[in-house]
Amino acid sequence: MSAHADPPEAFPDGLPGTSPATRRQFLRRVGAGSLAVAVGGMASEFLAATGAQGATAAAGKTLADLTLSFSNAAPTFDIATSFVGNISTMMLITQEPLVTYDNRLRLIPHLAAGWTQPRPSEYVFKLRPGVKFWDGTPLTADDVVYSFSRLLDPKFGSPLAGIFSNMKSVAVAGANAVSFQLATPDETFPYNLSLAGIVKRSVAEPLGRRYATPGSKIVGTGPFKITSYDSPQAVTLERFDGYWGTKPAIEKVSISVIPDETTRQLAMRSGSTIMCYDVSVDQIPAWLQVPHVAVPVAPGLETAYLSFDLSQKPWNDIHVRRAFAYAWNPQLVKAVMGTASTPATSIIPPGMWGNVLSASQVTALYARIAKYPFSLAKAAAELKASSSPKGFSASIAIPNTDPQLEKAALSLSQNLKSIGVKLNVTVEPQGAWLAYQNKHKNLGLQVQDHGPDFADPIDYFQSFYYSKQAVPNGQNTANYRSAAFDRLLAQQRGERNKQVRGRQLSQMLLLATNSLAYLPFWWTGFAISYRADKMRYTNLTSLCYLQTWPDHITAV
Amino acid sequence: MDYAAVSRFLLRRLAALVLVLVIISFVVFALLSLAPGSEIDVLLGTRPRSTVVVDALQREYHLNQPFLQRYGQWLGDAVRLRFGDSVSQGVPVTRLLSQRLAITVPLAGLAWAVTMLSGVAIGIAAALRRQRMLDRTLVGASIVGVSAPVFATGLFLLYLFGVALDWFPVYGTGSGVLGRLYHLALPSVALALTGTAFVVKLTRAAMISALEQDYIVFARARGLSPLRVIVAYALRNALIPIATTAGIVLGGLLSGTVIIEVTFALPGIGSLLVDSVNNKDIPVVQAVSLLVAGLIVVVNLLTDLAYMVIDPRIRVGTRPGVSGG
Repeated sequence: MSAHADPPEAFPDGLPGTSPATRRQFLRRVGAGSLAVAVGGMASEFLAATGAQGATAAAGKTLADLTLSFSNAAPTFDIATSFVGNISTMMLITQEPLVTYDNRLRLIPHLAAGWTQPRPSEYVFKLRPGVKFWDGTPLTADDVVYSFSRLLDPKFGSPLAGIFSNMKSVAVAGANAVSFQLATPDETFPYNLSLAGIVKRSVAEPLGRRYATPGSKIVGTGPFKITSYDSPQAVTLERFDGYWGTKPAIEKVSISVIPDETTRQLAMRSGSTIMCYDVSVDQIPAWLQVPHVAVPVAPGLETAYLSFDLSQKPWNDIHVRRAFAYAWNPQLVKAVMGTASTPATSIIPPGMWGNVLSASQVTALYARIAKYPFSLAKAAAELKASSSPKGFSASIAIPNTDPQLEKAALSLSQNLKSIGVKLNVTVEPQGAWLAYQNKHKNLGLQVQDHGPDFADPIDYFQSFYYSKQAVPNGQNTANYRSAAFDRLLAQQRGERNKQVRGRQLSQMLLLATNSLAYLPFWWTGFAISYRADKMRYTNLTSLCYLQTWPDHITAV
Repeated sequence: MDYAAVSRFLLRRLAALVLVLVIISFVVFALLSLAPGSEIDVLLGTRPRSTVVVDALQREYHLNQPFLQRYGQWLGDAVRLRFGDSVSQGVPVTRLLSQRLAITVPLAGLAWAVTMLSGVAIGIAAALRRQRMLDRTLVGASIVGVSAPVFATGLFLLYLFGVALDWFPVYGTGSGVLGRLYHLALPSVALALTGTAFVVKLTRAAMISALEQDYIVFARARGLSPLRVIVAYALRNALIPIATTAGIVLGGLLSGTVIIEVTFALPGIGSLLVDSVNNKDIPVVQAVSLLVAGLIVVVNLLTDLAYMVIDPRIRVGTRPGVSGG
């Protein structure tokens, strides 16, 4: 059995060395922005406009109104019915999860006081005592049971059902405890619990899918209660004085939706908004032109990459894949996105390993990954050694919502031309592009921009390398199939020894990256912006939307 | 006025409206159904999918039924003014529409008022000073207004009046009548710039044509004041093409506000339509398409009726050559 202790009362300032960073990104909905999160602290690059440097928080000062803007509206405050956009950022400060992440992105208890694992396929979570809903009633195990059991109800139709598909049942297990029974052992199951907020059963159940939509009743345990929510475009929250945890230094949060990034910059300039999520990394220079604005940037956990369909020629030829790898010039990353994003050496960002390996172990592991420094001579040599030495033509489709990926593909196309490969780049509406990928036929070359759901490398491994994901609607667009890899995947799933699991995952990384089934482009940095003359955001993490992020804000 | 003829005219137009709406609804439904992608992709994204949930969603949104059966089901509900729930947002379509119309209608209305008042006034001034510096300046300025991209003029106005001068809010919809009008002032001006040039040029041409008529010479010779000559004689006779333009401009404003809505963060019908098309949210797209089509037909009808008021010689509902009552 393993036990997990209560979280520390306050988040430590700063992060050690190459701090792990995790990031999760929803697939961008067409027309919608994306929510991005980053790791702040010592490992991050902190960019500030003139006048903002040196601003310090005044102890004990309260921010009367945090005016916060997003690029898109979440249609509901219930992630169980709509898992898009910035819903986590809003939901989880009102309806909290059982677990959350600390500043080093390690999973820690939140509404749960801790958990045990009496059997490989069972987790028992003990609820934190003294937690009350906004209406003064106590949080009960029954509320937790309902919050999760509805996810698997076909009539409810939750987008989280797939993530919780291994959860066989959830039941009350004694006073203030909940037991989760899994179909098969899964050491990463607790991560999933960070995604789902706990709702009050007596309020949510009668409303079903209409719960937490604009105008409906919403009750949570979070530090902020919703006082106005008639439309997704404008939401007002006020501090809940009966909150069980640290009282935020913010009295009110006014959320508005401003789709256009230039308009968000103007709003920040005028002071009508003092904090923005959804800062595009290529817009950071523009943000820095806004007076008094700080733009903390942190290494993200999102990766942009290209996949080769290993079930088709010529992509099943390692020499062809190496030719592409050598033809990719990572200088483009800096040119397009400045220093906010990092050229990638693997589709799994190093920040994903914080719960598995130490920082030095991660550094040593990534040093062993095969690298392909830009060299057209080497690219030509690889092509000459391949089954298509005279070159060939291919095409690649890019979703119209990702101009950076288009630039990457065009840059690669230009370089490949010089060695005899003609790569035709087309841009398609995202719906059509996604529909084609989901069909999983004749995939050829595909591009993708992925952010994980939790801070563990298994998120990437089981999505992109697991053979059972090489199916329609699966994310293994490389059709990577390796018995050795699948075996390691199954072994680590039930491995409770952290060191053994770390070794298994390390082996999986080397196996996966050496196959070059995916050509990683960059790890996307994440930035937010805020008025440094009004507030300060400390310890920005890439999972801030899964944390009580107001705790990181102090008034100036 | 032949009220019977007008009534028959109205009935014919209403019948035509119904036919137009049915045709539009079928075409839109068909196009969206044919478009790649599925509502399931929108709802579930790229995350792991549960087949049980996929089946449930397909049943809920009738995605596993043949196209004509789905359309028939939708049409049957639409006739009873039941448009269902939005697939992507999970709220009743009628609620979404009413929320968005509360933004778009005043925005388009304000923009229309600015367009017509300024366009007609500038057009008259240009016509009266034809070929002179004022005429060239006004027409040139209006062409600049129509040439500048809407988002660029919107951002410029935002920066100047919202940030630099701090006279207007940068975003949001405001509350209450006055608050709403205050928040919509800048976006409506940005929206009006494009249509104003069109109205200016047309008003100028119509006024020039009217001012060259014999009855104007006669009116001046009779000693009528210049203001009366311009308004009661020239403008009155130039109003028919202006009324036509007013209808076209209003129809365009009601359906073409999406760029301004995005720039000024106004959740209106335009942005709802674009998001719904991208999300294959068929219930919403159908309802918005019908609404916009209906509004345009009604605006055209009102324009035709306006002709009768402007020019009593025009009789709608009667055959040409047959004099009215």
